[in-house]
Amino acid sequence: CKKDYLALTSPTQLTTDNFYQTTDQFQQALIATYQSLRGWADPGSWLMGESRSDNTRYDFNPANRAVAILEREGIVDWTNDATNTQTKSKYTADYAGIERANIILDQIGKANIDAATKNTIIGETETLRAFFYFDLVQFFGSVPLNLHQVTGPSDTFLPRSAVADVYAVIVNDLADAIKKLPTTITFPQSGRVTVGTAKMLLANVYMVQKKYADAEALLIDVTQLGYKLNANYANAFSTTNKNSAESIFEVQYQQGAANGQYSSFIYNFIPPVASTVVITGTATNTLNSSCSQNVPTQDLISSYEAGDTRLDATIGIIEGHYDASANFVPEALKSIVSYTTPPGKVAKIFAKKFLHASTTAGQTDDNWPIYRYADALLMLAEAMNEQGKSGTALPYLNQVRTRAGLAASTQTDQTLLRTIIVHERRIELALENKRWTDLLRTGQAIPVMTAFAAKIKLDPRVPANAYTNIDANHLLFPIPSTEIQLNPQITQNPGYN
Amino acid sequence: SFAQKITLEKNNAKLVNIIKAIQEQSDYDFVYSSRMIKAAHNVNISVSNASLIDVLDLCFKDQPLTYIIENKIIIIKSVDEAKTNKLINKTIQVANVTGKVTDEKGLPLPGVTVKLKGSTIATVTDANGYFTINSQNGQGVLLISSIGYESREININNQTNITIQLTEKNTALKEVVMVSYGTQNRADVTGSIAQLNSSKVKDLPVGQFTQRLQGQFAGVKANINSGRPGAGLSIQIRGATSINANNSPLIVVDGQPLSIVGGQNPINNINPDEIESFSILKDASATALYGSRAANGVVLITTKQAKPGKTQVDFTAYYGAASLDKGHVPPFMDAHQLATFMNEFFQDKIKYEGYVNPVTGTATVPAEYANPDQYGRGTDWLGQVLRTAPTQSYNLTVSDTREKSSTSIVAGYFKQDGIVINTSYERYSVRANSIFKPTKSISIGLNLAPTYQIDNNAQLGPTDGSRQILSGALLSSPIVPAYNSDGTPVNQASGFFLLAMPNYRLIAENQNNVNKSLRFLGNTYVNVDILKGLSFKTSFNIDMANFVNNKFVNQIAAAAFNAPPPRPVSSISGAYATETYTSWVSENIASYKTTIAGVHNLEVLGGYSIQKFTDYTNSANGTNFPDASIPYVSAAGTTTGTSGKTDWSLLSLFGRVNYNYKQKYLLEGSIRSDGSSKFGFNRKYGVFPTVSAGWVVSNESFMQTVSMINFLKIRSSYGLTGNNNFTAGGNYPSTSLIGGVNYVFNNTLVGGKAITQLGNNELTWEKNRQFDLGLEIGVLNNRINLSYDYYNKLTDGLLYQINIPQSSGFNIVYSNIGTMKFWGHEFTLNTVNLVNKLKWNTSLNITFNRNLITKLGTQDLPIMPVNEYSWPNIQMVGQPVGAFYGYVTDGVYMNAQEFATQPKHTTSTIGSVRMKDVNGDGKITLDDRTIIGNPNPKFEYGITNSFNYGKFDLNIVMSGLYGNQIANPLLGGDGHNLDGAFNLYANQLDHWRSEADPGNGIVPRTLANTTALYRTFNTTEVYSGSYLACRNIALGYTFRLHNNRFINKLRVYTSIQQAFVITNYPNFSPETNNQTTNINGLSLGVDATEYPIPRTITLGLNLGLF
Repeated sequence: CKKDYLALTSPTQLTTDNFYQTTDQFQQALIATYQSLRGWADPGSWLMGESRSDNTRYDFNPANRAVAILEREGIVDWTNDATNTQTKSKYTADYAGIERANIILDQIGKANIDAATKNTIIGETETLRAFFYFDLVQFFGSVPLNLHQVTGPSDTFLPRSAVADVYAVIVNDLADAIKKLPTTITFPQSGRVTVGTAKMLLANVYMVQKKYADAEALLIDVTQLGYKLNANYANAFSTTNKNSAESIFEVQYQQGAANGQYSSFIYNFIPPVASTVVITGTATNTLNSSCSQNVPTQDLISSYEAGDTRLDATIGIIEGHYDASANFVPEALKSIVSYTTPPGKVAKIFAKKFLHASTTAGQTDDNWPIYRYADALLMLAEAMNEQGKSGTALPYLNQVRTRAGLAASTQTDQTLLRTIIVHERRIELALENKRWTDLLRTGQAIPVMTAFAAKIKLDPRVPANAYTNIDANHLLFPIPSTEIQLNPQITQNPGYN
Repeated sequence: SFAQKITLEKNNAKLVNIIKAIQEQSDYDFVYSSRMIKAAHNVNISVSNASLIDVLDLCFKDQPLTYIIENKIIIIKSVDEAKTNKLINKTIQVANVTGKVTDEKGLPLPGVTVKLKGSTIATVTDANGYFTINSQNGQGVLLISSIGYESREININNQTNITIQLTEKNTALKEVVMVSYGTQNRADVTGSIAQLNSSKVKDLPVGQFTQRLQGQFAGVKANINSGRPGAGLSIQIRGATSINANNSPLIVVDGQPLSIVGGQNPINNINPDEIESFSILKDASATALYGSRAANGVVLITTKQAKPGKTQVDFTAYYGAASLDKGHVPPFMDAHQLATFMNEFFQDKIKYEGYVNPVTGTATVPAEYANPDQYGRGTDWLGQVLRTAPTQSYNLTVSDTREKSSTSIVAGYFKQDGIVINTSYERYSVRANSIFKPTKSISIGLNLAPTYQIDNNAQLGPTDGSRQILSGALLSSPIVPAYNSDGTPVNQASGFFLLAMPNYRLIAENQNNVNKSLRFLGNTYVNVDILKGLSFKTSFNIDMANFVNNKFVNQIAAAAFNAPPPRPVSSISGAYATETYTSWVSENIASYKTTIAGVHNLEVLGGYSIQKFTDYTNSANGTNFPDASIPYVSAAGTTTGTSGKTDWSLLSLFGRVNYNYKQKYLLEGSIRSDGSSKFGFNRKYGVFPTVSAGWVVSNESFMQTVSMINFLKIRSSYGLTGNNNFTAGGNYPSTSLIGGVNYVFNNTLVGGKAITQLGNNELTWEKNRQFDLGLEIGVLNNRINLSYDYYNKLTDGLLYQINIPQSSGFNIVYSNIGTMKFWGHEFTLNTVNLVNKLKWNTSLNITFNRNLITKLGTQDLPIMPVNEYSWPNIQMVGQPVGAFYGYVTDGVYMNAQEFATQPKHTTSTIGSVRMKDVNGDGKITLDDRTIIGNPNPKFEYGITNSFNYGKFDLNIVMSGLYGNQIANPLLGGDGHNLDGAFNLYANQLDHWRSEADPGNGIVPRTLANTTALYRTFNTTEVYSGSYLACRNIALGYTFRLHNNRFINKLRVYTSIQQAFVITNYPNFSPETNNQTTNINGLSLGVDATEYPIPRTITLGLNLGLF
C-alpha cells in the first residue's frame, strides 16, 4: 500500500514502460518520426540548402534588425557563427528524427507483430534515419552516431564519428530498407516513404560518393516504379496535386488551424507588407515579421534560357509602391517574363513556386519537396555521363528539357554535357534546396560562390564582411555552440572557433 | 462561601491529583508552580462531604507548602517563603479592591497576576481582565505582572476600582513562538526562528501579507517582483537559491502545508487581516520537521483565533490612491530628441551609405525628421497607458468566546486597481475559526476560509515584460500624436522608417483576460489530552481551488508588438480554461511533555503525515471568429479543447525530542523520513535528521552578578533538509513521457506519438546540510536586544533541468547535478530608545548572504546563455548563482588609428562599438564574454522606527539592498538599437558620427550592419541595483473613548507606501525582477521592464465596537 501510494504515473501521458508494444503503437511512433521532417524543412532546408548558394538571397529590410533576422542573413552572407540558432534548428530536427527512429528499431524486434508489417515499419524507419544522417553529414561533416534509444543522461555524451562511418550507417540502413519495403508503389501516394524513396536516397548517397555505376543501377530501378513527369511543371507544386506521380518524397502539410498541420513557407519569402491580400489572397500584416527571404537572385534569373516555361512558374514579381512611412504596399502580382518596372512603381522578386491559395492567412496547404522524379532523371543522366555514357544520358536529360518547353540537347561531349546537366539541375530544381549540395557534390562551391560574391558585393547594401570567408572550412556549417559547451568530447569544425 | 462539600478517597496520591479532584468538585481554581508542587509529599485522604477548608488543611498538613484563598482562587505557597514574610494570613479581609487589566489597546488581559506587594496575597485576572484583591486596609502597592508585559506597581491609595494598562515588553524573549508542529518559549528555542505578530505591522495597507514582511527580518528577503495589482512577493530565506528547483519557502497555514499552483506564492490570496502571526524558520533545526520540503526555510502562519474576553467587533477600512513615482521612469527621448537623432541618422545614411529615400527618390532627410525644432516633448506614451488608481479594503472581525467554545470570523473585501489602465484585482474573503471544548481534555478545531478573487488583466495581461505595454510605450515614437485631428486615437505609434508600433493605449484598453478563482482552505483537528503531558492530535487539512480564465483577443488587442491594429479577422481568438486542484494532508501526532525531578524538562513528539495533490485542467480555444462581436469561444468558427490531470503524493514519518536542564542547557533532535512520488523508482525516500543545542548562559548562577546582561543564549544546530519542488518538469520528472506528435498522410491528419520528456530514473531529493550558530543577548533591562546568526549551508544533488547534447534527440533532462554553498551572517538589533512621554523603538536588521556554485554535473561545465542575445545568467563553478555573462564595453573606435591597432569583431568599423578583448587573442569573438555582474547583494537591510507620543503614533519602515547588479538586456537592447527602429534612451543622442564629431565615446555610430554588437548583452545593460526604499510611513491617532457604550476603540491613520526610493538604477523600480514569483537562478536580477511599484497614499480607520 505504501509503495503504491507513491507510485504515481502521469494520467494523461503514456510512458516508455507501457508503449512500443502493438502495431498501432509502432505506427504512431513512425508517424512522429515523419513529423521531424517539418523541423528539417523550415527554415534550415531553404536557408542552408538554397540561400547559402548563388540562387537566392534576402531583400534588405534595414529597420528590422531582429536577432533571428540577423542570424538568417548571416547564413546567406557566410558570416554565421556557432551560436546561430537557425543552423542549430536543422541539427536539432535531424537528431530528433534519428532518436525517434532509434527507439522503433531498438524495440520492434521483440514486438509481436506480423512480419510484413514489421518489415514495412522497419524499412520506412531506416529510410528516415538515413535521410537525417545524410542531411547531417552533408551540412555538418562528421557527427555523433547515435544509433540506439537514449535511456538517461549518461547515454547522451557521444564523440563525433568519421564521415565514412556515418556514410556506412546510411548505406546500411538504406540497403536494408530496400529489401524490407514493399516492392511496388501505389499511386496516388500517401506521403509515406516508398521503395522509390529509399532507392532515390541511396542513389543520391552514391552520387556524393562518386559511385556512379551503383547510383545508375538504382536510378534505373526508380524509372521502373511508375513515376512520371507532370505535363505542366508548375503542377508539381500545386496543392491540388500533392504526392503526384512526379513526387518521390515530400514533407506533408495540411491547411487549417484545427490540426496545426499547416505550412507557412511563402510568408517568409514575400516582402513585409501591411496586408498580404494582394499576394496570397488572404490578409495579414507581416510588417514586422521575418520576411523577404529566399529571394531569387538576378544571377539565377539570368541563367534561365529564353522560352523556359519554368521561369514564370518559379519566380514572380510583386508590383507596388512605398507609402509615406517607407513601407512597401503591394498592388499586383506580375509575371516576370519580359517584365520592366513601370515608373513610380517598385518591383519585388519572390519565390512564386510555393504561392498557393489558402483559406486562412499564414496557414498554407503547401507540401515541401524533397525528391521529384525530375531530380532522379537528371541524376541518372549525370551518373551515366560521369561514366562516359553521354549518349545514353541524353534521353533522361531531355525528358526534363522537353517538359520545360526547351529544345532537346544533343551534346555528347562529357565535359560540356556535365555543365549542361548542372545548369539543368539549377533551373529544374531551383528553390527546392538542391543547389548548395549540388555545388558541394560537384566540387564547384568555392569557384561558383567566389564569382557570385564578386558580382553581388557591388551592391553597397551587402555588408562589408559578407562572403569574406569562402573557403573549404566554410563548406561545412558549425556544430551548434551549445553542443560544444555541453560535451567536451565534441570538437568544432575548423574555421568556427 | 466555602459551602461546597468535598468527598475524596485517595491513598498515597500525589498532591497534584488531589488538587485536580478538588477542582472538579468545587468552583475554586488553584494557582501554583509545578516545580513547587513536586516537592509535596503524597497524601492519604478519606473524607465525605467535608468542607473545602477542612480538606485543604488535611492535604497541607506536614507539607512544605501552605495555601491562601483569594477570591475563589487557592494560591499555594511554600512554607519557607510564607514564614520569611511572616505574613501568612488566611483571614478573609474586607477591604477589596477591584479592577481591570488591559493591554495598550485597551483589550482585557486575562491571567495577569495581581499581587499585594510585600505579602503573599495574590490573584489572577479573569477572562475579562477583572480581578478583586484584598488590600487589607485600602493601602499598599499592587504588583501587576504578566508574561510578555512590563510589570507595574500601583499605589492603591484607597481606590476601589482601578484600571491598569500593561505595556508589552520590548523583549521578545519570553514570547511564545510557533515552531514546527507546536509552540515553544522563545528562551527555550534552539533553532533560528523569527516571528512577527500582525499587530506590529497593522498600518501597512497592503493586499498581501508578504508585503508587510519587507525589511522586518534578518535573512528574509521579501521581494516585490512586480507592481501588478494582486501580485505577491517572493520570499527568499537566507538567499535560498537553487538553480531551477523552486526556491520559495514552504508555507504552512495553521499546520497545513500549502501547494504552489501556477507559480503563484500560495499565500497571495489570503487576506492579510486574517493573519495573527507569522513565524519564519530559517535553520535546519527549526525546519527539520518539515524536512522534505524545508530546504528553503518554512513560513508558519497562524490565523486569528478568538481571544478570551467579551464579544468583540472590529472594523477596519482604508482607501488609497496609487500612482507611478515619476522620479523612476526610464529616461527615453522626447519628440525633439528623437527627431534630432533620426535627422542625424539619415544624414549619416546619406553620407556613408548612399541612402535614397524610397518615397521621394531623393537623397534627403525624410520630411518628418527634417526640422526637429518643430517638436517639443511630444506624446508621453507611457503616460497614455498609466493612471492614478484607487485601492480600497474593508474588514469586519467578530470574535466571541464562550465557556466551551470560541469563534472568530473575519470578512474582508479588497480591491486594487492597477496603475496600468484596465488592470485590477479584487478579493472577497471570509475566515471562520472555531474551537470547541466539550470536555477539559478534548478540543476540536475547525477553520474554514473561502476566498474569491477576480483578476482583470493583472497577472495574465501583457502589461510587463519585453515589448509589452510598458516597454512598448517607451519604445513608441513621441513624435506621433496620440490622437488624430478628429479626436480618435491613432492606430500606429511609429513614424517614418521606425518599426511599426501599435498605439499601446488601445492595446491596453482592449485587453480582456479575466481570471476568477475560488479557493477554499479548511482545517479540522481533534486534540485529546490523554494524561497529564500526553496528548494526541489528529488533523485533516484541505486546500482546494478552482480557477477560471476567460480570454478574448480582438483585432486591436491582437496587435501587440507586431504591426499596428486592427489585425485581420483571423487574428481574433478566444480561450476558456479551468483548473481545479485539491490538496489534502492528513496528520496524526502524539506528544508528551514532562518535567522530571523539577529540573529535567522533556518533550517528545512523533507523527506521520500523508499528502496528496491532484490537479485537473480543461481548456477550450477558439479561432476563425467571424468578427469580434461575441467575446466567447462559442462564437468561434474552429474550436479545440483539451483536458488533463496531474498529481503527486508524499508520505512522511517524523519525530522530535526536546530536552532542557533547568532551562539552561537545551538539546533537541529530530528526524523526518519522506517518500515522494516525483522521484525515480528506488530513489523516492529521503531521511532528514537534525540536532541542535543551546545554552542559556544568563540562567547560570555566575551570571546573576552581571546585572547588565539580562539574557544571553548561545545556540547551534546542524541538520539535513530536502527539496522536491520542480518549477519545470511537472510532477513526473523521473519518467519518460510519451505525447502526441501528429502528421499528415493522404492529406488527412494521422496521430503519432513520441517521447516528449526524457526521464531519469536516478532522480532523487535535493539535500541541504545546514549548520547554524546563534547568539541572543539582552542588556540594560532588555532595552537592547541583539541576535546574531551565522549559517553555512551546502546544497547537494541540486535539482535541475540540465541541457544534454542535442545529438541524443533531446535537449533537457531532469537531474541532480551540482553542489552549492551558502553562508551568511544575520544581525537583528531591537532597541528601546525612549520610554517617556515620547516613546521610540528601533528595529534594525542586516544580512550578509553569500553563495557559490562548487560543482556542476560530472564535468563542471557552465550553464551558459545560448548566445549573445539570450537571457544573460550563467551558472558556473566558482561563481555565485545567476552571475551575468556578456561583453565588456570599452567605448567606440574613435578614429582610424584606434580601429587599425585594436582587436576587432567581424562587424567592426571606425565608430562602432569596441568590446574588450578579454581572452587576448587579438580579435573580438564570443569567447570575449565574461562575468560582468552579480545579482546577489552584498548585504540586505531593514530599519523600522516607531514613535509614540500621547495619542499619536508614527511608524517608518525602510529596507534595501546593497552591492547587487541588475541586468536589463531587453529594454537595454531595444533602447540601444541604433538602426532607427525605436525610440531610444536619451543618452543615445550623443553618438559617434565622424572622427570630428565622435560623440561621448560610449555610443557608437548608426552605420548599417555594424550596430548589432552594441545591443548584444554587454556592460551598458548592467546597472547598480543598490537601493534604499522607504516602504511605508504611517501616522496614526488613537481617540480615547472611555465611556462610549458602542465604540471602545477608534484609530485613524494615513500612510505613504513606497514613499521614496534612493537608487542609481535608471529604469522602473530596482526591486522588480523577472516576472516569476520564484527567485530562480536562471533569471536572477534580470529586469524585463516589470510593472512598476506605485507610490500609494492611504487613509485608514480602525474601529472597535461594543
